[in-house]
Amino acid sequence: MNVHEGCMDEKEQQLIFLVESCQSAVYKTCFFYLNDHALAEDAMQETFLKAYRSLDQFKNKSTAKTWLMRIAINTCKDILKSAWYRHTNHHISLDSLPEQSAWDHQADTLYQRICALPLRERDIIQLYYYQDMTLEEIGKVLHITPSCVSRKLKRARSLLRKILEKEGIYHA
Amino acid sequence: MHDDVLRRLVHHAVDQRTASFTPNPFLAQQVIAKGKETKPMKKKITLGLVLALLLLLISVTALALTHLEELKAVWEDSYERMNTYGGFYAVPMEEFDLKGFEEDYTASTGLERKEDLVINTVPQEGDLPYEEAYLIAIAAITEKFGTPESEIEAMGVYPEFYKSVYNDDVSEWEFYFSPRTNVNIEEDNTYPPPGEYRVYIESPLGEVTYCGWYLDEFFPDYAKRTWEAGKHEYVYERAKGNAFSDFFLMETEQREYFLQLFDEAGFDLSPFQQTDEALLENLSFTLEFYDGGENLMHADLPGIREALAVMEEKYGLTPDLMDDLYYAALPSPAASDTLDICFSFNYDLAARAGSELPYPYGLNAFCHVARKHLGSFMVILDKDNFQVQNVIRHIDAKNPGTGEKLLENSVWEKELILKLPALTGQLKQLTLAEGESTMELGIRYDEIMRSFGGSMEEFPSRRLTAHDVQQDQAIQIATAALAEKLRLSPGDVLLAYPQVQATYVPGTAAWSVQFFTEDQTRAEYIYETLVDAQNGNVLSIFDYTQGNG
Repeated sequence: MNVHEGCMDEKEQQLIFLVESCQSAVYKTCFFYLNDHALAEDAMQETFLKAYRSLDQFKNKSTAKTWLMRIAINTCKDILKSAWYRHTNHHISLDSLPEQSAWDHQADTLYQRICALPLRERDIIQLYYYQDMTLEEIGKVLHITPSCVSRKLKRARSLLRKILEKEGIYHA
Repeated sequence: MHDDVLRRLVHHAVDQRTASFTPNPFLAQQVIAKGKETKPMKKKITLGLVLALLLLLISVTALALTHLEELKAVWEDSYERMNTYGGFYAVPMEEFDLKGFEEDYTASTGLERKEDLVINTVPQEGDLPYEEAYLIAIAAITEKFGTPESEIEAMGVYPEFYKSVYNDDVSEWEFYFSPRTNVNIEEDNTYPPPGEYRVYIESPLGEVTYCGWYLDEFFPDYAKRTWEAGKHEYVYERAKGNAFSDFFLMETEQREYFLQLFDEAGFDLSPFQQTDEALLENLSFTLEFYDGGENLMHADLPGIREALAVMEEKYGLTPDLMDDLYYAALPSPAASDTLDICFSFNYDLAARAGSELPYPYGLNAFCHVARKHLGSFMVILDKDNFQVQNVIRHIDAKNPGTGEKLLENSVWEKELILKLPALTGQLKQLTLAEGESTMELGIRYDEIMRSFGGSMEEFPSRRLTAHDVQQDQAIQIATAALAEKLRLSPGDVLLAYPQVQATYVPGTAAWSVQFFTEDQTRAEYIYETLVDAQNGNVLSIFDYTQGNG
């Protein structure tokens, strides 16, 4: 999708398109960082609000999704850096989750371990393995070169493997 | 491990957590409306109060702004020197929207008590000034790690000051020192060399509460410098600790250099003197995840033939059988005077095969079971004449077991391995038939595994039989159990939750009985009761809305 400068109606249409095509991806990205449904929804709305306000400045140097991801990640990091996140325990115990018969505890263990990783590892994992972005796209989101992305990816891959081995998790 | 497998696992893990998300159909309209909002009018206050507040604000703000600008300048200077970019997030205390925070505060924000709130701000009168904190940080790093001051001062310094909003006594400096250029300190905490230092200092006392350097590996240059600064214990512990496998896989010359240092300093060298068995144990993780592409299983090279021959002779492991179980033949990555060929289960092989299958099952599922019973091997050969000198095996399982059937034993020796083809032959036939559900496939897999001695616990999937609790009965049992829990009559339970659904779950051999309200728009059940299909016992009752039993 190309986002062009235009009149207000066109801007609203562009926003609607962005929301329809990327709402789920943005939400899941936010959840990946914030690990809380309410906060993720707030961050998602904030992301689209920022995007809406910046639509005139979008220069088509990247895809809309890449652009939104960048905004979403920065929004989440702002929240993570904000006051009440500084000294809080974000551990979520399995006891607080629904114990459904179909709940895959191993998958959830993997999720928790990923969330415990430093932010930049989480960036790479969620952008590469979850959002299926290319190295170039990831570079645009994170403002780093593709070769730098490649190096980070190597490390993230190594960490994921270690997690899987340590937790005895195998592919489904 | 193949990226596709990792991708699938990550997707599954995240999707499971976010399964309850429903796209908001009104989001775009809400965003547009919010984007058009004007700022609220400020409340009027008396002129006298305004002037008084203004005077106070000017004096406090001037001080705060000075500190703010000072810290901001430090960050910007570091960004420039490190050839990177980033933000600066401190706000003066008086600019913090405490009222807004208190209005928005709920337990879901993560703070156990709102009084625990601290914010990224700037020091005020009475707090430890930046210049003093900086010198304390430098001294702490030099003292602990032996890093020259000049080296630290050449790094990018990123100071943050935190202060409690509710308690003036709680304030702290956090310093990050990064030597890496083109790296955003906020986004990149990559720890491979060189890493970053972090120092936390209490204010106003100036006590260092934390001083650390983040690194996961053993870096020879850093270790040499730290050793020369007299931090022998630190270097020795790093070599022996988390970085052990990295230390061991270093170039022989470097490793020998440090071992000599340790020896001369009187340290115990036994942790570094590995037997072949210990070597293989240390290598096993590396081998299983090795994706260098150098699988020698079918390479017609000297040494490989001899190694394969002894594997078959000693363990009954033929190349075909090892292929079926996704084993690879790899040269040992550790330096050695002999030719060492390792045979190990390889995740990458299994994952690649799995990603090509229409539905990975059969051997692809079994290989993860088999690896635990087989372990990894190293064949040690003479480099010149390829004579086998020794064969080493590492396996995590401790108690071999004495059962006749394959899966009744934790460790498979030759006698049991010779029975493997009978099992793998059946598993090769196990594919998803047209119209068959994956649960059905799972049942067939578990049935095969149980026939070879697998336990019900490990392979529980089974079909419902005529002797099991049937659906109607399961619903009755679940309703009675829920009634007892809620202190209602069963009839009242069904009034409250008129939609009841019972599904047999082969993987747990239990009935999942789900209770829904009348509300048709609600997709989730309210209660789920698990009823053991074999004996009718209630295994659990779960309240979905509360997330507890």
